[in-house]
Amino acid sequence: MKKYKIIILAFGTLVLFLTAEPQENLTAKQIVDRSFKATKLAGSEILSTMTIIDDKGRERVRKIASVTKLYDNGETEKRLIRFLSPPDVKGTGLLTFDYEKRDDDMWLFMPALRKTRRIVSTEKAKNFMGSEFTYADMTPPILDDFSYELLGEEDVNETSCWRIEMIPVNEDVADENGFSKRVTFIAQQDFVIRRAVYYDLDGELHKELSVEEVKEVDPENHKYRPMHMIMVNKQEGRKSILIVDEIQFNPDVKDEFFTTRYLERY
Amino acid sequence: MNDKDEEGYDRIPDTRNAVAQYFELYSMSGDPDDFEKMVDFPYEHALLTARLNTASTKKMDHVIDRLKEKTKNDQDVRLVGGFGSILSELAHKVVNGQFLSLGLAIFVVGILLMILFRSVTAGLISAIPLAISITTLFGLMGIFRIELNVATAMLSSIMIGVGVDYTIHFLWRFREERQSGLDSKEAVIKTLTTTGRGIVFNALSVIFGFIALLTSSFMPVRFFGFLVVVSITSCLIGALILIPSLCIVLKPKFLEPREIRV
Repeated sequence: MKKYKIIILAFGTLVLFLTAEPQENLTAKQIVDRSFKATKLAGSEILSTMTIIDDKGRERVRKIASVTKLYDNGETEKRLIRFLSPPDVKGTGLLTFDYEKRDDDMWLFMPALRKTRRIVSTEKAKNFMGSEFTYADMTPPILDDFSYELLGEEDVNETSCWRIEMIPVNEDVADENGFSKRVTFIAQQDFVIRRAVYYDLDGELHKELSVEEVKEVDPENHKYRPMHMIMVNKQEGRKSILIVDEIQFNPDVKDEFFTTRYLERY
Repeated sequence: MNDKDEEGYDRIPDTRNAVAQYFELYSMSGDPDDFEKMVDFPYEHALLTARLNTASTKKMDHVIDRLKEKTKNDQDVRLVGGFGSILSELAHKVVNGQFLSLGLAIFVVGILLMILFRSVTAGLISAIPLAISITTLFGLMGIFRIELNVATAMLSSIMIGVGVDYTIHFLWRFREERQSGLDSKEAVIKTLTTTGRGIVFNALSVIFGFIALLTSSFMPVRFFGFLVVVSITSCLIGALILIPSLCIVLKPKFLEPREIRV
């Protein structure tokens, strides 16, 4: 009888193993790679609200409309952001060509001056729109820039996640991304990040990102977008909230949106 | 705005929107707390800093008063202030406090002398040399344009404390001599040749001690030394020349030998 028990147990384990989701065997790096790809949308139209809160609880609210589209087989994402409110910055536009392998190109158009300024940005660690989100947070980084380690599994808001540590391979990468270590919680069901803890260049706890809501925007290709992101700066006590009010998957966004000519047409 | 060749260089843009959009441009590549010390978070109040290249509180007061006057009815101006304002306020406080502490010092010393010699006249007489040296002190400060600051303001109080010694020494000995039967003139001569010597040596050692400060290269210390020397000298002159003369001329009652009534 003892023998049977062992056989049944072994068989049971095997069945469990086989029927479990296929990503069980993924390495940390593969998980992160899939997570980067899970949010890459061929094209989209978005209305969102950015709330920037300082350490005394004072708020700055910006409503923005944006369109995005992937080019070069997904290696380049072009984005056009237009400010809708407050009234004094209404019409201000930001055009970004986000390249995978080199520094981004950025242009800002200021309607009150009818002038477009090129923004030279080599640092992805810079804060976006004065918020706690950095440019690095807005777009997935280069996969090979980091080493990955699967630390375990943990639930975040009742979603089971992998807990993965990302460490920049060298100091230049750390400087560029603005962190020395990031612990990321990636959901097993959709590969979207649910939580991330950032450690600054001195190794101290710096920021914490929580993703409250995720939406499958492109069901055909299983592409997702976070709808509600909160970034808390644990050192300065500031906080930024980015909420997507409306999102429309659209791979056929007009190419002419992504030109400085269109940027200035306001 | 920031480039020299550009139109509108070194100027604030004309419209509110342009300013807001420049802020937005900056925030695209700056740190969120870059402007923390210059403007508040909702961009409602800014800190405008002006540099006053003067140390004169009079001029500072003038500038601050004019500013306050001009912005009196402006709802948008929260506060006019800064280090210059603090400095001028401090100077006012020191000068006003000066008069109070001077008056108080003379008053207290006078009361003490009245108790010591059991006479109101004693208090009044000993206040005379003090009043003269205070006048000398402030007069000289005025002539040499020495600023009344925290250090020099303390001087007059120190001077009252040190200067009154000589008068007390003199009066005490003089009364003793009178009681032992000498007349006023003889008593003055006796006192000056005995206690008077002690007083002179005392004063000289203080004076020479403070002369050392005159070699200082730090101006406030040098002024301090100079003023101590001058005021101690004037106290000495008061105690050794003025007081004896008054004793001879006025023959105050408290110094006269007490008649034993039978």
